[in-house]
Amino acid sequence: MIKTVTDVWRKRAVLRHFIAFQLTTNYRTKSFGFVWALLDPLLFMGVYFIVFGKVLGHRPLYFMLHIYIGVTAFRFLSTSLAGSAQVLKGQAGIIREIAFPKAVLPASIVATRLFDFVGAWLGAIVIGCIFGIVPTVHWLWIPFFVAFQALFVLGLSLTVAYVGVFFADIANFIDVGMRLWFYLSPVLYMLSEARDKIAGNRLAECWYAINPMTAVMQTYEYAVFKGHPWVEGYMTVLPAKGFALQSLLTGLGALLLGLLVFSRAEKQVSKYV
Amino acid sequence: MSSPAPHSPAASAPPLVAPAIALDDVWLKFEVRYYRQRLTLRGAALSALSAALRPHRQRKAREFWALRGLTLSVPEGEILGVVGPNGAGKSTLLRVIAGIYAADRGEVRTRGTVATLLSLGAGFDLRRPGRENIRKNATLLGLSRRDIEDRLGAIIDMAGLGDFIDAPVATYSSGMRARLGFSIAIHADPDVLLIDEAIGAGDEKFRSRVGSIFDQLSHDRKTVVFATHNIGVLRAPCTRALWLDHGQVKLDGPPAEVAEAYLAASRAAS
Repeated sequence: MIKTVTDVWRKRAVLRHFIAFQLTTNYRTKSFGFVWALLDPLLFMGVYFIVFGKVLGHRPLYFMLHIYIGVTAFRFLSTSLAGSAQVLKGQAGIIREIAFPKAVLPASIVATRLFDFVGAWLGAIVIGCIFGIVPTVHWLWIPFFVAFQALFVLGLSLTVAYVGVFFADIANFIDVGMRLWFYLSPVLYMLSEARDKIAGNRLAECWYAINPMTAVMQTYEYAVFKGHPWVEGYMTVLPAKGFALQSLLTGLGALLLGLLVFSRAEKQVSKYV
Repeated sequence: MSSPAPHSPAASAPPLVAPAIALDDVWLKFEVRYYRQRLTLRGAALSALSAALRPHRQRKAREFWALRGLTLSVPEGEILGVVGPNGAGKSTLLRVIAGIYAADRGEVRTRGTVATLLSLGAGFDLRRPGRENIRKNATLLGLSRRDIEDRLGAIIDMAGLGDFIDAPVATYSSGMRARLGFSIAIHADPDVLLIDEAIGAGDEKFRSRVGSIFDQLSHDRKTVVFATHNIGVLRAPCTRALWLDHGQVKLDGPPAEVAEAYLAASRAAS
């Protein structure tokens, strides 16, 4: 398992190459290129806000920022998983041609998507300023919270990449599963609201307690909305300490699982891609 | 472990020098998935039942052993040609040496850096230009960015691609792809070079060039293993030949001798 990590480190030039490769294929093939990494979540934010903030409920405008952050955080997760599910089969030609640590492939996918995600955070600053959520000192936590989520995403991506070799249908399951996961995480609503609704339902309570994306969302919510007293009249910004710890621990756990699975896979995948 | 064949040029070297490639009783299997022609409910139920009743037997039928107890020692400076019918395990052998496949049993050791050219496409991305594919393959073969930029011109020169180097690899002929793949592998400056059939796609001019490059490599104490069907290729540049059949060594010796025996066997079979 440690060997998987050291192998990737030794071959970091290969990792760098695949990241550059993914970035150029993502952006070069479309006329709007990199703009889509920003435009796509912005458009979805608008759609969700119209449906859930106007038609089905009443949300203040600044709640759009909450939705935007959730959409981009989930985009980071779902695009990483979808890409990783296919990356080993997609690179079968080179895998069967030259020996190299295969873990660089899902890792390069996650790194590319992380790049998008960081860009999306720059967009969040702009949106925040427009809606009156000017960045505070609490925003300095964001890089740490993003790093915790990235550990989680990387761990899951390694696992999914391995499963994708033997079970191509996983891509379909990811598609549906991610949608469900998104709606069952506090993105379009606040955790405090969900807790009020599900009080007494043990299963639902348990889900919101263990759902890693709950913790991830709450850390972001805290960093972004803390210190805006006029927002706190409407939003309940929960303290982040517990969520941050949960996010870090699930991240490390997922990474451990991913490395464990992938270190076994490393020797087998070249036969079966 | 077998000792180096007496005819090999390295036989005169001190006996304690470790060989460039050493395989010790190597076994490798593939698990083959059979697709049923027509999936019916009855058929699925029956096969599930038989699998439940005789799990062991079902499992055995799905394994295919591509290498069966291969032991081989290749000293530095040897040019080893591998022949054998389709499915003998030639490509699998090369991939095991390269470390692409892990042996299920036994041990594989190589000394120094290894470069591979295992398929006509060399793992190229067809939509990308040749230049970009050079960077990709050279990076994967372990060259630093600086080395790649330094050698880019030489690689393109040797491949003889001219302006095509900036066109997508999809537009290349198979000979052009083979030349490019070969040129990259050579410029990776490996201690061990593994080539599968790819040279066959090149024309006569290219092949004679390859022959002289092999001689130079052998002179520099580099090791080459290549698989081929072309018995003529076997005779020219090799210092030793290996005849594989059903994942086992059938004959290991001087190229002329192996080629003759292999030809005779092929004729007798047809």
